[in-house]
Amino acid sequence: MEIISVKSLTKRFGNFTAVDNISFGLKPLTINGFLGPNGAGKTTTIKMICGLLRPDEGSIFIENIDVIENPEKAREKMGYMSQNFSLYPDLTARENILFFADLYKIKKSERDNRYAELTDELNLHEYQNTLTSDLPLGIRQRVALASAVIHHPVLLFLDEPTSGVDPISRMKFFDFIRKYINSHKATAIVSTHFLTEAAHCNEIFLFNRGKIILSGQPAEIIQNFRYNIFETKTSLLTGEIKNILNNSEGIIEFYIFGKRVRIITEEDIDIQQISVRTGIDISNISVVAPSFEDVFISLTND
Amino acid sequence: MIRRILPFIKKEFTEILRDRLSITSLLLLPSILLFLYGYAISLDIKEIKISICDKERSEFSREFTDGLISSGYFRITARRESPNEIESDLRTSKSQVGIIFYPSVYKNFLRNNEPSVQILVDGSNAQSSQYTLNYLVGAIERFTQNAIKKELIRINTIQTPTEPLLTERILFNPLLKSPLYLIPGLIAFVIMITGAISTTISIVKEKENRTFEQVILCPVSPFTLIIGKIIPYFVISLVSSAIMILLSILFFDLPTKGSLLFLSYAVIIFLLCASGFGMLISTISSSQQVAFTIAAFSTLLPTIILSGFVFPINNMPEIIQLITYIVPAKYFIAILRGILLKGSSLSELYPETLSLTIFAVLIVSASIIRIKKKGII
Ligand SMILES: Nc1ncnc2c1ncn2[C@@H]1O[C@H](COP(=O)(O)OP(=O)(O)OP(=O)(O)O)[C@@H](O)[C@H]1O
Ligand SMILES: [Mg+2]
Repeated sequence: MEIISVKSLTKRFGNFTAVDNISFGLKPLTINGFLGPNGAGKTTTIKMICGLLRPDEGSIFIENIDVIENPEKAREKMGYMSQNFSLYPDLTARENILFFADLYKIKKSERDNRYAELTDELNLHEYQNTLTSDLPLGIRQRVALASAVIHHPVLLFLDEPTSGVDPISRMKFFDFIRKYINSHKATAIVSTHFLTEAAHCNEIFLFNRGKIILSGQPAEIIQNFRYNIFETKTSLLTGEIKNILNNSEGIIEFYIFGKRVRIITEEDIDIQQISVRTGIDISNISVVAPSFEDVFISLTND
Repeated sequence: MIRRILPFIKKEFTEILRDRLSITSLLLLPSILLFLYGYAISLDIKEIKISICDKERSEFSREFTDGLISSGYFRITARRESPNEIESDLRTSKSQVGIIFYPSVYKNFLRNNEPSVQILVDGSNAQSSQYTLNYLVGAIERFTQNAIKKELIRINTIQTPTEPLLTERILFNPLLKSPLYLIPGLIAFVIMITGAISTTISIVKEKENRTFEQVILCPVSPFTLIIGKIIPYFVISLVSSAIMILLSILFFDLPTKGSLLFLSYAVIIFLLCASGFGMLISTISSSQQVAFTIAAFSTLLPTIILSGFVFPINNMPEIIQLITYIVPAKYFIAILRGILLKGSSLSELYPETLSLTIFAVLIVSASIIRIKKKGII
């Protein structure tokens, strides 16, 4: 049984198609990662599911509710954290969180319990009475998260909740989400630029130019990856190495970071062949496991 | 509904009160303006310099000038022999008003002949010259009527029909307490700033910060949201209007003749116009700058320029006079001047009140329709 099902969803802004005929379904109690580069259509898709944007075509159902026709019906179930953590800058962390609690008419005693619990879990104690405009980004993220879940929604829409946040906080963030999902029988959509965050998700959806170019469980996706990945150290100049690799057959894509080059090749090319084809000494080449970056790059290469 | 709105109002007030600068300026600026404007203008009026050319040299001309001086608003700075000198005094700003009594003015006056007193006013300051002229016209009127009465008593005729020599009179605010005349305009101005501009800016700020997206996903209707935005500024406008009226009563002897109920009605209806404008503007603007510019041009400027607040509408070109009919502030200021200065009742200000009410209904409905159709983000 799918909790959210989306069919042939399309959104255009003028002539530009931001979301191009995408379909997918989400299973309950999962974290679903929307991955992809800037402008891929992640935010637009999330906003349509929440009912903030009206699609041009397609259908969206949350359980049995047609979200396009009745956007209000599913609202009580939703918790939304918008890109760049929208909070009221002139209110303190506490005031921000309680404001949202009050909008949901949560009883005062219950509200205060939940508030205490959230400040505990998210380590917000010392920031409670600071204006959110004075808080560092990482703390604002937690305040925004608390504001988004104070009414205990069962559908979480978190739009780039981890951008600009340090790696440890990002880890803790996903720990919190996982715990929340288990204890509230919830389902989450999390969008991100960080392909490495795919590992925290049950399902990932790889967005590019308004389309979902790949979806599935992270482990499955890596397993199904049909290409080989090599890494090599080089003392050659960038221009020279580019020249060599561009003229070697069987190379899908390569990218250079610092002194290292990562090379994606067809399945049938092994380390010896790559050495022969590029003239790089074999002792300088190593075989590495594919990452989501490799998957993404191999897919978007044209 | 009420329970849904309360958190918004609470939040809005917390934000407003935390922003010390804006709340202080919203509440105090109007009063500061009132005092600046009030004293600047009454000073103007007190210091009016007169050049006199008196060819008549009778009791009549002396009594008239003495009367002017004793009013405290005028000072005779020069006595001249020829009318030409008077003109050059005005041109060189030695005086702002010139009065010329031609010979045998009193006799002509009694015979109801051509008038032979000439008054020249320096029109370069439209505002104060308007007041000066109005005052002089009133003074002449009062003076001639007294003179006629005296004359009638002297020749012992009771029923001689007397045509007034001048048709304009200052009946209200006769001492030319011009701050009083400005209070309605200042209130209109303040209501536009708080009711329209602050509301718009605070709505658009939430669009910019994307907090609206967050709030829209809560189970609240867009109207709850908007009403929650409007009420705080509504209250602030009421408070600062009340402060201005109280200060005017205390410091400028604003008469308290009019009906408080009618006054409140007018203020509230005008506030609804302002809030309606605010809502409309916030639905079409995506940034605070855009919102401010649109609001300033569509609400603030007309309120200052086209409402009779600063410039008398009668002196405007005809086409501009026509435009003033669609400026709600015009009706509001007329109503407030009526209530505050003359103690007029609804029956006397019926047309203006009706126009203002229709405006409010139109603007508010337009913004509601717009929000229904397009949403707020
Ligand atoms: N209101 C709008 N009007 C016009 N174009 C828009 C609008 N909203 C989004 N777009 C465009 O649609 C495309 C998809 O945007 P979207 O925000 O969905 O991407 P995203 O995947 O969330 O990217 P990012 O990682 O930068 O947040 C972008 O090219 C963007 O410029
Ligand atoms: Mg985005």
